[in-house]
Amino acid sequence: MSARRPSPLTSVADGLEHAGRTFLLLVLALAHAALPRRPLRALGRLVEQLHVQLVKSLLVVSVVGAFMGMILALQSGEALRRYGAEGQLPSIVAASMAREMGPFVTAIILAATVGAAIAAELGTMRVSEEIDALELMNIDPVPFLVTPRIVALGIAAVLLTVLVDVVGVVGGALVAHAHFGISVPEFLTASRDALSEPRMLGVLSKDLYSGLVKALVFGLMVGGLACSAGLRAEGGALGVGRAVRSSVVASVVLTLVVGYVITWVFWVVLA
Amino acid sequence: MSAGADPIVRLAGVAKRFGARTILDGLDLAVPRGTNYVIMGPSGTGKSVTLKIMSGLLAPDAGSVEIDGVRIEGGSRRALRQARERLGFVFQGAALINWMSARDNVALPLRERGVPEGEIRATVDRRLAEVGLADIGDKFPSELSGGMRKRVGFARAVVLEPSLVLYDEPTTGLDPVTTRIVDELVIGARDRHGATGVVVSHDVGSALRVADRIGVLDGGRIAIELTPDEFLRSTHPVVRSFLADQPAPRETRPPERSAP
Ligand SMILES: Nc1ncnc2c1ncn2[C@@H]1O[C@H](COP(=O)(O)OP(=O)(O)OP(=O)(O)O)[C@@H](O)[C@H]1O
Ligand SMILES: [Mg+2]
Repeated sequence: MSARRPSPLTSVADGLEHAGRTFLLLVLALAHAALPRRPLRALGRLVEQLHVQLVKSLLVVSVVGAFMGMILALQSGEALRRYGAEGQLPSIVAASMAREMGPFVTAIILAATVGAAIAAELGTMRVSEEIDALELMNIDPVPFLVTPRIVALGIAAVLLTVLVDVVGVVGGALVAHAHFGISVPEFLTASRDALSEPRMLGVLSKDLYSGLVKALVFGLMVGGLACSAGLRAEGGALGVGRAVRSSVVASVVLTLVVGYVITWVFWVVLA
Repeated sequence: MSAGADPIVRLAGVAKRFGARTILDGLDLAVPRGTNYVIMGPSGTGKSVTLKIMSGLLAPDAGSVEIDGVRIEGGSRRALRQARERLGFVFQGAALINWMSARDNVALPLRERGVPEGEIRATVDRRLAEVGLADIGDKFPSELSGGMRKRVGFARAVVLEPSLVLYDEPTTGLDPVTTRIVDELVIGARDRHGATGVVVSHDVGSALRVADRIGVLDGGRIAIELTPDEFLRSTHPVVRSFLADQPAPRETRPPERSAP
């Protein structure tokens, strides 16, 4: 491997190529998910992955989610108090969690825990020729390895986002009770009301829709980036390290960029 | 070339470059059905690359690759699938799926083909017993020694009874006793199962035991092709350098075997 620094143009081209390959992999994986050749086996793999991923991330997601809500409540509460508008606190915390912070926090944590683990796992399989071995056994790595991981991440991201929203609001309620004299039941009722307001398609509020759509997109994206980076790893253990880093960095950056785009679509385009 | 009328592997004019470096340069190779062909050559001459081209893991820049009558160099997925149905590959590092037990690794090709579980169990038990590892089925690759992993890798490669088995340095890094065991497996695949073998090896003793023919890879092509007997008498510089490492080559000669 040459130690020469690639020119910026080459890096951009590489980045675009990586993005293109990742997108193709994602589409291919989802196509396999939609039309599995052996549905029962595919379901088994999916459940196994979902279990592993939730175990890996449940605790840290809950802790971070709770603190996120507490910080939001403290920050916004102080600002609102100046205008005597503490009454708005529940709806601000609830909407911020549901629209932005819930999916964002979940995606970042999933990228750092599950995504990194997937990139390392598939990267190790690549550099130790396990992926080659699968191909020689006529086992397509996409339905065998990629589809269950990506789909599980999509589902996990949605489930965990709901959890983060809930613990965030509860965390916010505790802070609101301690600092701003709002009772916990009052806070929770006001949050629930705030989150059921402008309905979309008759089922959920726009706040919840936008947050859950984000969560799903983030989950699939983190999964696609992790699988793609892992499968492209080369050059032994060092290469696996590079794959993990590139997967996490790309996931975090794209989570912010794509998050912005989705927010724009929901609150500007569909306003 | 003295290959039989019906080679199962036929490479013609195969070339492969990586960047500016030419690794293979017009390689011709034909392996007769039911024989073991050993490829020897200094490190980095492209032995592994040759096996990867034979199995379609790498595409050649030029030339043709024919496996059991199927041309695979064009990148047609159907041709590749078809060729791989009859092909087993023993990787240098075994390449066992690291999160599956030894048993599940051997079972994998069967399971993916929808073989009933009862039948899988019996076949896997038999294959593991064949490589002398009947009682380690539940262990994971990380709990096995290098030699054990190689034998599990062998069991997995032959579980579908392929007509062609490619071995990448099956004995490198093994102790003499395990080397003998693996050599016997390579010989058994040919003699008991009628499989053709292409074996990449550094190990002269092992090569002389398993080979019907030995091809010396040098300068991007098969520089010379010999029977084990001819190999011992050869004056080719690469052959001499291999033999120079051997303390007493005559003693490692295998029992005479009639070439097919
Ligand atoms: N994917 C690749 N990309 C770039 N170069 C490669 C690649 N694979 C192999 N090479 C180069 O091709 C040359 C031949 O490699 P190969 O692995 O076939 O050697 P080998 O004969 O098997 O050696 P050894 O006995 O050490 O295993 C090496 O110099 C290697 O660096
Ligand atoms: Mg090699």
